[in-house]
Amino acid sequence: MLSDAKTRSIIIQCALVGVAAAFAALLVSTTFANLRARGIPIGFDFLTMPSRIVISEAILTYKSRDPYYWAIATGLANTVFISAVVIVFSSVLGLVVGITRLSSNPLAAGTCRVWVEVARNSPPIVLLIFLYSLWWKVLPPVGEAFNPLPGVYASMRGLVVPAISMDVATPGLLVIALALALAAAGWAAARRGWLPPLAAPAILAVGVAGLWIADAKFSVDWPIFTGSNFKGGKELTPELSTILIGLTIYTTGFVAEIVRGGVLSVGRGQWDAGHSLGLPRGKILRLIIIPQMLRVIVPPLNSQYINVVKNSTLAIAVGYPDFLAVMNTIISKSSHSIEGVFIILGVYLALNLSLSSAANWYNRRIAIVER
Amino acid sequence: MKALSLSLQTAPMPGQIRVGALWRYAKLLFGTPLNAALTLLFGTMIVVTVPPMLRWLVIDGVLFDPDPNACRVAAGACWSFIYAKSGQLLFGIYPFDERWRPALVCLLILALLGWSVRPASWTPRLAALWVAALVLIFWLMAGGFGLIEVPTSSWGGLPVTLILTVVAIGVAFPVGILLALARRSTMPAIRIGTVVLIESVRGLPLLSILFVASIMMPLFLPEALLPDKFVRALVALTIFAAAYLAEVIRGGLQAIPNGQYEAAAALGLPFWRTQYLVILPQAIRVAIPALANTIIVMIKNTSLVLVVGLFDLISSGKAALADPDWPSPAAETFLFIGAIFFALSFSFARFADFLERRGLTAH
Amino acid sequence: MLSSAAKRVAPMPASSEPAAIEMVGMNKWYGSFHVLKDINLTVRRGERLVICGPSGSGKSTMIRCINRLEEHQHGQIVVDGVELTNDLKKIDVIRRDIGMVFQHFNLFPHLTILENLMLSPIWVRSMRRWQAEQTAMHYLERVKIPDQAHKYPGQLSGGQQQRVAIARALCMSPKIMLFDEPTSALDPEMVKEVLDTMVALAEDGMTMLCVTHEMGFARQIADRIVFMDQGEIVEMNNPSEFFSNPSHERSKLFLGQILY
Ligand SMILES: Nc1ncnc2c1ncn2[C@@H]1O[C@H](COP(=O)(O)OP(=O)(O)O)[C@@H](O)[C@H]1O
Ligand SMILES: [Mg+2]
Repeated sequence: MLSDAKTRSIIIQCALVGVAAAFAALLVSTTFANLRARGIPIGFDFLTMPSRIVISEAILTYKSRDPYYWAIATGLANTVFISAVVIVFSSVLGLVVGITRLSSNPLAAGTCRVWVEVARNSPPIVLLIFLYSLWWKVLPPVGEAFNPLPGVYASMRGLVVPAISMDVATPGLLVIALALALAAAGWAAARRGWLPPLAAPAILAVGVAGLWIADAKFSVDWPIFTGSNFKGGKELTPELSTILIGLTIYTTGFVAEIVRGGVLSVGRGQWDAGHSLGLPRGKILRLIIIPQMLRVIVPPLNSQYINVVKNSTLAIAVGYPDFLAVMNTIISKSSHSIEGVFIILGVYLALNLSLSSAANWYNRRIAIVER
Repeated sequence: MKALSLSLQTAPMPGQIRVGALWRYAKLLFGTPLNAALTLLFGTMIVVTVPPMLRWLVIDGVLFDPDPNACRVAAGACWSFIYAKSGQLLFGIYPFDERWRPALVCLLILALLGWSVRPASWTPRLAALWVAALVLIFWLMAGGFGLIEVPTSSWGGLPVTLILTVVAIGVAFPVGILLALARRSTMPAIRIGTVVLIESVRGLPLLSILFVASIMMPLFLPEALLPDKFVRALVALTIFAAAYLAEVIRGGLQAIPNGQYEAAAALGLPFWRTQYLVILPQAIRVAIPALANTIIVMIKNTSLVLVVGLFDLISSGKAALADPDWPSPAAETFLFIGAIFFALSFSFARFADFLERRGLTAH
Repeated sequence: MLSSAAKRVAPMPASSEPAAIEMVGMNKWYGSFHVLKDINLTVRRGERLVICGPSGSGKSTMIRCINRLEEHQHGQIVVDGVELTNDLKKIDVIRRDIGMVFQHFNLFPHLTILENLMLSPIWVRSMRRWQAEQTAMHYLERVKIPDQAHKYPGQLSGGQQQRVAIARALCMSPKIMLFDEPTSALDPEMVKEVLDTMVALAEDGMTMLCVTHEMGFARQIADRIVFMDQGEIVEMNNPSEFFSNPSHERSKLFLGQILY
């Protein structure tokens, strides 16, 4: 009865699962045989041993005496830092560039179009290497540092930016306050339309109160140029600066296209309908256009953010130690390649999953607004 | 449609085009306070940045002077380096006397791409033509049968980029179609397996896949079966492309109304014929803009293979820069390489636009 | 709608004709929703059946069960002596014998009219190309649009598209034709051209099951009228009886809404 639909479906599935399992078994057994032949041990206990690898630059404090797990954490922190900075800056810039592209001013729209086309059609790694090679060509020595924005200096030695630091007397209380504020925000978001006039100030109040009770002191440390050096601020090496600037330029091009598409996706009819109801422009924008635009924008924006995490691996091109570069060093140094590969897969999947679930959560929120 | 109606509104009135055009531009640039501000802002930016760039690029640049010292003296870009090193930049460490072979391969691939771009040539014969061309390309690159043999480790530059792109996409496309169909299968084992496969590949950076391929393959496979670096990179690129293409094609499949499946079933067409004759031609047409985007991403992605030690355009650029006789003009070299990628990807994007518009008018 | 002068050419089929379709105690559920309740219906060869009833009563579901676009869960459906089961070979055999015309045409938009028509002769009936083309042109002439052969479906009017869909179904030389509201998606001025095509087909002696609310058409060609409501066959009668003297309260109500 091979022509019976259900029997056939079961046979096909069993066959495929069998082939896949056999293939996997073959791979695993060859791998173990290979490892044994080379006398390589397997297991994660190497993680607590001192790594003795060098990480040239880190957001966290790292010394080569530190164990492997801390080296991994250091690489991960670098990756998360790059991704977060690039996501924030490219979102803001992308919004501006995307909307400017729709401007009736040909000069403004044209310039933004050039940005978008260059970003979308060049490989990010070439962009990074190119910018990196420009660094010493274009920028002055420290003594003549270039000051494009207040508090930001660029020179051959890299960027110097203002550093924000927070000093907390009782961190425990702050954590509780922030958790409360988050919970309040979540609750308000879930019941949106019910108490929006109260929600925002309430959340803010909880947060501020928490900061106050915890006796937190914010300080912005502005860099001071002494003529040959900098005091204060945060110094970013040319490598890190290149990655941040390059990936921001690149990602901005994509975000701009998404924003432009989002704006265009809301038809003129919606504006007309809003006007015919007597709503002012601001209200139409806030109540009608933006909610519809967000629905279109959020999914592609999220995949763009995931791309930023993936593109942060290009840091390797200018020699900045991101997570993947650190893992690569660890694998070649410790010869725990199987474990290393599993850590790599696990970490990137976890990063993407958390970004996607944040976007999904947000999407559901907007979907509720819709009804 | 929307864009169309918008542009119709700003179209000039007939009869007053001459004077009108100037006037219209002036109005667009300064008509409203916002536009005036934008003009001022962007005008300043352009005035500040473009002249120095032009000076560096062209006016102060060394164009053809074959003497490396001219570059050391000049304040501008060193194009004579690119000119002098073009062979090495484009073909890497391929034996000097045999460079006509990779050059021929590049021309062949580009010509074939140009030919394939015409919708009129989309027949089954085209696939056969490509297969034949790939055999020819491989023979030209690798040698044997009368040509001097050149190992893949000596391949480099533009032909590597082009071959990787074309072969990875070519193999990934049918695989992607199968994956997309499998992901929509009614059989749970197949569906779940495909979802896991596609999503894990899409969740990983290509670089990590390239690394994993080069770390794991020596462990997975017996020594004798181990493919060389070139094939390893090709396999990684193909898997990567297949996962992305599968999702794009699935998007196209979702756009096909149920009635099409029902009509095909009512005509007695079996599953694969239904897919091949009725569903896929429509789904792929719907997916063209997204497909083009994915292919552009793949063209750009091939630039990553340098990280696993292949001699693509970037690596041959770096090798050329190491020549101590020249002042190592890195920015110019990478600008040149970027321009090659830009040309490939930009022309492909324009072609996709053309297809999309054609698709809109066809029905 | 149609002129009442049009004669009914074919007589009532003799009850000795063999059954083309036989449904016995057929039931279908969508999840827990009972769509078709104990359907018993026999259609003889050459018979023309019109099925009507309020929207959502299960008419489409019933005729889609006949060529297995939907699966029934209980009871029997026998088409031309072959019982419908999970057996894929039998399903193939049955689908070859049944042509279907849909409310929304479902022409293949990426193929020309001619290619639409040649699809099943070539790929299902394994005809040669020239043979398939001859068949296709023959049926295009019968539905009176041979001059549109090289256009795409999107370039035709709704009425023309539906006639192409009928021709496409006929190209498989089916023994039975199913019509699911073939004129409901059409502008009023195009309804007649499609109905005329169907009348011509009926006069040739094709076994037909039509879901339609065109009562003039039903009166003209139907041997029997089946009235469905809430998943049941409520009434089954010849047209003159059904229209002049419906035996059921629900049919009366329905006719009242449809005719006036
Ligand atoms: N795929 C489906 N899933 C669930 N319910 C369905 C589906 N298709 C149809 N139905 C339901 O079955 C009933 C009968 O539908 P249908 O046969 O299309 O009615 P008719 O053609 O008489 O208007 C309706 O109530 C409809 O909502
Ligand atoms: Mg219906």
